[in-house]
Amino acid sequence: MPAVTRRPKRWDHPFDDTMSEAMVSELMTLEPWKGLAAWAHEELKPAQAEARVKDLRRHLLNDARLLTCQAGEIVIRVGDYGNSAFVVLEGAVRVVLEANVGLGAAAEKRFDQPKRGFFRSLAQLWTNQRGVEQRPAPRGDARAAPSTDADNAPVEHVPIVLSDVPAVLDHKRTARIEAGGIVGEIAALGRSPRTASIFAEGDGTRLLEIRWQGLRDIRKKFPPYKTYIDDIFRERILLQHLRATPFFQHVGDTPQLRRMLEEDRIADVFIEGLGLRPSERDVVTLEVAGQAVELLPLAQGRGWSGSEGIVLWRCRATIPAGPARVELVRALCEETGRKAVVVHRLGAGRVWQWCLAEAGSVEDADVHECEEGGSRGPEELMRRLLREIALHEIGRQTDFHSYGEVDKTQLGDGDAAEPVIVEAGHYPDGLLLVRAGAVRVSRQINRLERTVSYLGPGNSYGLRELAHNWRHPDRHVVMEHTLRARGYVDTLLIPTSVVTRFVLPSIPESDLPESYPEETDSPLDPVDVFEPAAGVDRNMVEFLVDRAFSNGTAAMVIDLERCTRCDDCVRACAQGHDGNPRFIRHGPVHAGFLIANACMHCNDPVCMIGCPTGAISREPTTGQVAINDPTCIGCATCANNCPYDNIRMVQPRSKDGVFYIDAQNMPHMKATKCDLCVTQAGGPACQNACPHDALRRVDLSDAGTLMDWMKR
Amino acid sequence: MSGVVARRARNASLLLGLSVAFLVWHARQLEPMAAPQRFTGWLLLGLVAFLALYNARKKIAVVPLGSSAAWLQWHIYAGLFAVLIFFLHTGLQLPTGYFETGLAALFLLVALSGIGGLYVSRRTPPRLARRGEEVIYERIPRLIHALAEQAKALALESVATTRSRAIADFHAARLSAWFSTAQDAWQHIVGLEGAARRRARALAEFRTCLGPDELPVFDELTVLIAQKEDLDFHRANQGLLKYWFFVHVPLTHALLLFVVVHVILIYAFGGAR
Repeated sequence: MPAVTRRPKRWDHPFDDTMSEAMVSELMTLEPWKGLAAWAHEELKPAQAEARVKDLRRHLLNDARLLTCQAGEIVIRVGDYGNSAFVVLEGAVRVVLEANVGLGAAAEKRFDQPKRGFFRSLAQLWTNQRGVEQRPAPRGDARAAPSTDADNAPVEHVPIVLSDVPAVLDHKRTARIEAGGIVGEIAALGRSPRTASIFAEGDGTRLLEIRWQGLRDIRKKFPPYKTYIDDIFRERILLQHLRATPFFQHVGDTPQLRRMLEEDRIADVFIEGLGLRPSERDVVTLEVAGQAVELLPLAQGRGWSGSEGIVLWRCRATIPAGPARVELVRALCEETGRKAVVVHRLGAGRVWQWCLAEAGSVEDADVHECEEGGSRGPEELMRRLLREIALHEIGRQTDFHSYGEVDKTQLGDGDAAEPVIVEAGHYPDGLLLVRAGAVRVSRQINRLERTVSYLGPGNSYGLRELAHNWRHPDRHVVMEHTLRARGYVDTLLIPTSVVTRFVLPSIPESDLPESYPEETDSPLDPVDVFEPAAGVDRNMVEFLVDRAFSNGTAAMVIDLERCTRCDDCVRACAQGHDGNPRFIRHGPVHAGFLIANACMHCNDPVCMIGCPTGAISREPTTGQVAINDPTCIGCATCANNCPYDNIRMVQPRSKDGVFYIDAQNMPHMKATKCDLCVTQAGGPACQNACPHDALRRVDLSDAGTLMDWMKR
Repeated sequence: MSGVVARRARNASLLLGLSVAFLVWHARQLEPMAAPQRFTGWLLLGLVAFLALYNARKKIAVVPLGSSAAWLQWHIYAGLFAVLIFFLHTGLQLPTGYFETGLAALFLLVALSGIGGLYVSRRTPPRLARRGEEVIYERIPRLIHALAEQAKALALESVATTRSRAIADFHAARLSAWFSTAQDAWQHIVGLEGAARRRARALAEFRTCLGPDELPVFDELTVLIAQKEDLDFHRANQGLLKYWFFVHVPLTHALLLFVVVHVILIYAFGGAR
């Protein structure tokens, strides 16, 4: 006799049980929620507006939690995977703009998913359930029936605090985000790692952490908020992507600029070095502390820490530190309608100063002064500033492009239409950076187009051709390969003129890709075209791209020439998951290698896109995709979205062995999949259990990893 | 040299070196040692216990005790070393008495089944990988049944489509029973192709008797026959890989029991004290 229970619902397990209607009412008096409610009442019919605001309140009640941070408390750490964004309610947070910069030992401390110890691992042998897919009965509304079960407890917020905030502010370039601003949305909406570390600026900074499902739905229901989030999302990911791309590390730091800096011609650097030609007619004269100050605009760039723009100004007078400088910055912001300005002044004795400010926070403007012989010379500051400006300039001229569709039926089909991103034989019109998705790289061999490689997020294409043409203006080459989108692909295209002006001169000669040989005028006719590149099995690459496996970071690959079909891997998996394995030792085979039906923990896990409850999420430190069983309502959105059919819907039973059904006699379902044994001390049990070293969890986003293993 | 070959060469060299060193040391210690067999006996007991532990390790896969692959390497080379110690322990003499004979026979059977299993586990997977589609062993009976149903339906349909009973009769007489269960297990394991060749000859002969409208049906049937042969091959060889454990492991348990009794007997009556 099946057990009749209430069907699990979306908000049975709110983000924070302690959120109350009173707290939501208080939130509704703050921006941006207040503004969104006002928009609804202005733009929609009364009934619609009321329903929309009610929805907003429900999201705040169930998808959000309030955090109060102390000064220096880390809110987000670069590299972590995040499933939520943070709205600043009171105070401000600082975003560390420099990529790959640590914040000290305290900030590096990570709270990994707790692993089972030796004895708890052993205890699984007798504590595992004896039936198939047994689960406790759905608990219903968590607020009505609070649980003592650790699995159902809200995620604990463990504060990590920077010990010396002033030192961090002094040594790192940071952006300030104030009340009403949002941070963390790149990782939350893009299912990607956090791109910057963020910490609270002062004591009592209040933040609203909102899980991404809530953010997604609020964006859908409030178009102005969608526009706002999408704009800052695009702007921030662009700059963060540029900052994180290796060959932009020295951008702005060209030999010409270095020479000028050495010759103490710092003032000329902006004008001559970057080729920015200010116009005298743009000079702004402001009256500051009774003194007329002339300011010359030197560079303009799009985006500065989420603000509307940046202008670099060269000041023709020395402004003393203190209120006068603050007044100057404020006046400049008002005059130009900009949220951020940079002012610099070169004076006697190589004193160099610059001010940064954003509208509304002029009093807290960063003011840096450097004197000769100081720990950080003006050159160093200048280089950093130049790099930022160059990045902004590159960003201003970079184009976003999206190709293809997020459609699982297209992904598994090798013959599906693949929009062309770059065509072989065409003039290299820019440097392509892949931001999301998978790109097939192919070349024409006789009459066939053969896949030679693939690109994923963070990869780029075209630098070799651009570098060759830059070095050999008399012997230009064309694009060597055709690039096609496999499924949905996001790219950034930096025009050739920008690359040759800002990027190529800054890359050390030894780091530049080698030129094409002289005898090969066109890279389309290389002599080795029929020979596979060293260590690369092109057929395997073609197979991986056709099946879109290149998205997987931990695919289960089985070498069938070594596998004895003993199923030790399946038994080990079952042992670690209450007696029920989380994969099927079956799947597509190529060249004796089987890609099993096991979650690949994709670079871009599209299974997460539609999850209404946040049950499927990425582990913060490792990025593994895991399903939280109590929160799963069995809607099957993730299973339907997974292009590889690696998520299974199962019908759980009670401990008495009966199925759960609802009042309409419909069975309760749960999504299950491989969690890469995230809680097991020894790592993936399947891999450890294979006696013949025939099974490996392989990062297929890098074909080399697989090739190395294949040749072992 | 690939990684696996290099590893095998390294491990085999180490085993050989250790064996030679042990033999030299043992030969030198033989005279001064009061009871050389006691030393080799305890060493052998330790090795057998260690070898038996591998099965326990496989049963507790989620406990972090090192990878199963590393354990198997130790298991293989420690097993080969144990054979050497066994011969040193027995002095290459035939055992006397039923119990001692049984013990020695058990040890040799365990060792031989282990070496045989190693051979099978190295030879069979590449053969499986090259033959037909990869199938899960437990699904094979269902797949064979589905093929049998398809073949039967094809044969019956041919009566209506070709107005001839030839294919249906051939199916009933020569193929129906063959399709019903997995066949020719030993031939597939050993690698003999006699049965397959005889079947191919019979099919070729029968084909010459068919009319033009029957040939397409017959060719479809031939495809099903080829699929069935592949399934038979997988059934036989995957079964071999699965079931050789049922020889090696029970024999090991029996050996352990005999070893314990052997030690008790030696200490109780053999003057080993």
